Amino acid sequence: MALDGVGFLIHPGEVIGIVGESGSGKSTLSRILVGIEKATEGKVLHNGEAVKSTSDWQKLRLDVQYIFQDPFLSLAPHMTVGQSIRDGLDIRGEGTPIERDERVGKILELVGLKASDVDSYPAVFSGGQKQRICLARALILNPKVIICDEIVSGLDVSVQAQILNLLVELNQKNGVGLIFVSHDLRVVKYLCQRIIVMHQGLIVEANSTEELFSDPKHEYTQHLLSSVPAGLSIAGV
Amino acid sequence: MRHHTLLFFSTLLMALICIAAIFGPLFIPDPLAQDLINSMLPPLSPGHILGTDPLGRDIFSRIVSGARVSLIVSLLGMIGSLTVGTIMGLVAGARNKWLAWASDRLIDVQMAFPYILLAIVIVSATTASIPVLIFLMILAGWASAARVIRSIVLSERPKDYIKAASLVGADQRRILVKYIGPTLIPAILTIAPLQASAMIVMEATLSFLGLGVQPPTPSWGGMLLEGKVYISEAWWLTTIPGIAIAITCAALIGVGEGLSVKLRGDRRRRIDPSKSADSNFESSSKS
Amino acid sequence: MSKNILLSIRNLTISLEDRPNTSPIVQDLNLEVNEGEVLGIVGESGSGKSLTGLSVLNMLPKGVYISAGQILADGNDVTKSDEKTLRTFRGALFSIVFQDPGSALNPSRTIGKLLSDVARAHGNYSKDEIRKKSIEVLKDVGFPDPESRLKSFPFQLSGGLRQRVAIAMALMNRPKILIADEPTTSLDVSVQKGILHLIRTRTIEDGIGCIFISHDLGVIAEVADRVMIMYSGQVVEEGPMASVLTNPKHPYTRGLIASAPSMKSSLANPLRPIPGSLPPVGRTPSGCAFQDRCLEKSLGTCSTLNPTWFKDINDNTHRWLCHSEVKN
Repeated sequence: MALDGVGFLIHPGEVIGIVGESGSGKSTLSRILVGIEKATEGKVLHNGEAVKSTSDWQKLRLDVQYIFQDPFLSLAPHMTVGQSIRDGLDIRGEGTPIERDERVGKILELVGLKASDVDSYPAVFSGGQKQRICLARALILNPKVIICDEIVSGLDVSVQAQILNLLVELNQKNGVGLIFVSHDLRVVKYLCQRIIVMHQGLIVEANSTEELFSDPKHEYTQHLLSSVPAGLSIAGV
Repeated sequence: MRHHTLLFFSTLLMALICIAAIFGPLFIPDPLAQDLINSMLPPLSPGHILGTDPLGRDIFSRIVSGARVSLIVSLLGMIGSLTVGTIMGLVAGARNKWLAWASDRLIDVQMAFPYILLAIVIVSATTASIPVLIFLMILAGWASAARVIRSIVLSERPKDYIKAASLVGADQRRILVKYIGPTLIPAILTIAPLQASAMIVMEATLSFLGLGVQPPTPSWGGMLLEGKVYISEAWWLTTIPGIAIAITCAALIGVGEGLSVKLRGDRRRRIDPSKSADSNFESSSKS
Repeated sequence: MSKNILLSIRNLTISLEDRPNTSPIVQDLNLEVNEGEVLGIVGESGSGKSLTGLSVLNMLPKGVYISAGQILADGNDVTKSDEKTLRTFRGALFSIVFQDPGSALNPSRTIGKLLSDVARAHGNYSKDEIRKKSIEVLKDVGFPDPESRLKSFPFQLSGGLRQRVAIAMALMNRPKILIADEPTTSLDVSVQKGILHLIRTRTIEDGIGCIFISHDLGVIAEVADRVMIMYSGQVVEEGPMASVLTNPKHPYTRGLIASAPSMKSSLANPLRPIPGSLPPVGRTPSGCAFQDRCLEKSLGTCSTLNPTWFKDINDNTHRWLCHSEVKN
């Protein structure tokens, strides 16, 4: 059993972190929230109402988007970057095709790429750039919350920092809420206001970031905190 | 041989065969013209480069005309078979469990059925003609095409980029057409020449059995049938149409092989100087 | 007690085959590892850190080769040894531990067999001797209850335990040099702590010279005595761990520290990412390789002159590659 009686609530504009090691169920939980995986029991509530049918899920996905961990696999290799990003708009028929193209150009610049990248294929981009493309694809739909499932885990430190700062900017300027799933406590501490700690399918602790770090209550949280490499704390820059 | 060379020469050969089939009959002597005085001439006889048959008909003309029949039947048959096969393959990979099951069973039945028996039944029920032949080709080929398509659909479906498509709102139809569809093209392009090649042989077989195109329309299989009894005296009556069949098949298979290697691409990890250092050495997952 | 140098690399250059006009992937690298010391190599992807580690065993992948330099492993020049000699060295004189224990261990062999394979490759031992040795080395790596687990298969073990087995295999023949290439990157954080501690303990107690490669400066800070920072195939800074951390001199090192989230970082103290990205393979710019991303550069010099080595006046083992115009 991957998840055991888990409950969860997010408010607009919040940045919540879900942290846990492998087998904790954090990825499963994030996938269930957006309907990529099905819960055996329990329900997902959107605006207070239970999500059941396919059209319910489609309505939820107008508000909640999800980004995968591995950018290599989450972009269709035979579609250009522009096509991948635009498809969501095409499906909803928002605006004229020319207006949609403009929006694609703008969103590419928003995530730190060039508008001219629109006609390139995913293969020519690096991992960090591909994640930006995936971010653009999610953002262009104006969701209220984006679920980031270990999106920086495979990236170099300097690239990771760029993406994290981008997420901070999006949250502070555009008001997009974030559910940030990660195994790296250091990243979660930096980014999130509230943290949920998961272990073996259960939520063992949930608290504001400050309180969790200064006064961890659950044994597992304490254990996790003590294992984080702390060497950099002496660094002076 | 390198796949580029193979592809080039096979395509060239195939093109020549097609040109001969389309335009050839305009330039050659009448393949139906009988000339009993000059019958049974061996190849390299004056006026008949490939010899004549028992009724004095020029073998070369008959080969060229027969090419038309073979190519029409196999190429149209291939197109039909791939169309039906792709549709059935997509259905077999559908999310609707009953549709998928039904399609799977149909494919199984088709593959299990003895083909010649089916051909005999259908030809006797209707007539032996080119449209019937084409129908038979489609019947023979659609199932293996469907299997290939189905396996691709089933292997692509669980991938992240497909899930990402449904996240932005794509419905099943859009996913099949826009996201999975293009991934089928390399496979289709690879199977096509191979199916056509098999159909050349199938048409010849059916004509040889008397189930195909009927005389006096020339066909390679028909020529084999007619020449069968004269094998010891007039080797060219069977050998020449046999070589024609073999060369055409080889050309088609060559195109198929060359294309499949070219489309598969080079999987070896090579350092690509046009890409940044980190995208060359990145491992695909680090967590 | 004078320190014994176990590994010495001089002017190592690794180049691409078939591409004579491109700049090398690793350029003119020098390093030394002493007995009982962990040297950390930090770099991002494309820095050449893994290739450097592999070159010690002369096990470079297809497409790259050692074009210049000397690698002395306990006095033996690896670059001049033939394959036969190298085979006697690998697993005995020096060993390597890789990132993914799942694919490093043969899934069809039991733990006991894996360890005996390593032992038998380097000497004739009796079954009893091997069994004894295996249990001993498994105990050394903190493997719980080794006697009963010799018959287990890798799939029955967790990631952390598998990595301990991999380390046991590496240490089986008491090597002088150990290369650890991102050994904890695919492990959980709580498991990582144990493995880092293990590597450090074994290095010190057995008098091994260990090279620990990672992209995570925080991890290196926990395990290494000295550190070498690599960028685009060159060493840009090296020195004692504490010195480099508290007093980083090279702009890239500073950038790495500023962009890495730590237990101290928060939004009030934002991460400062290093702008831009690595130069394409084989096309490092003339002058300093880091110039396009350097926030402290001096325009004229950095793009024309090759950088030179500077030493910290307080500690001459701490050095970095730069230009004097850049205010460090």
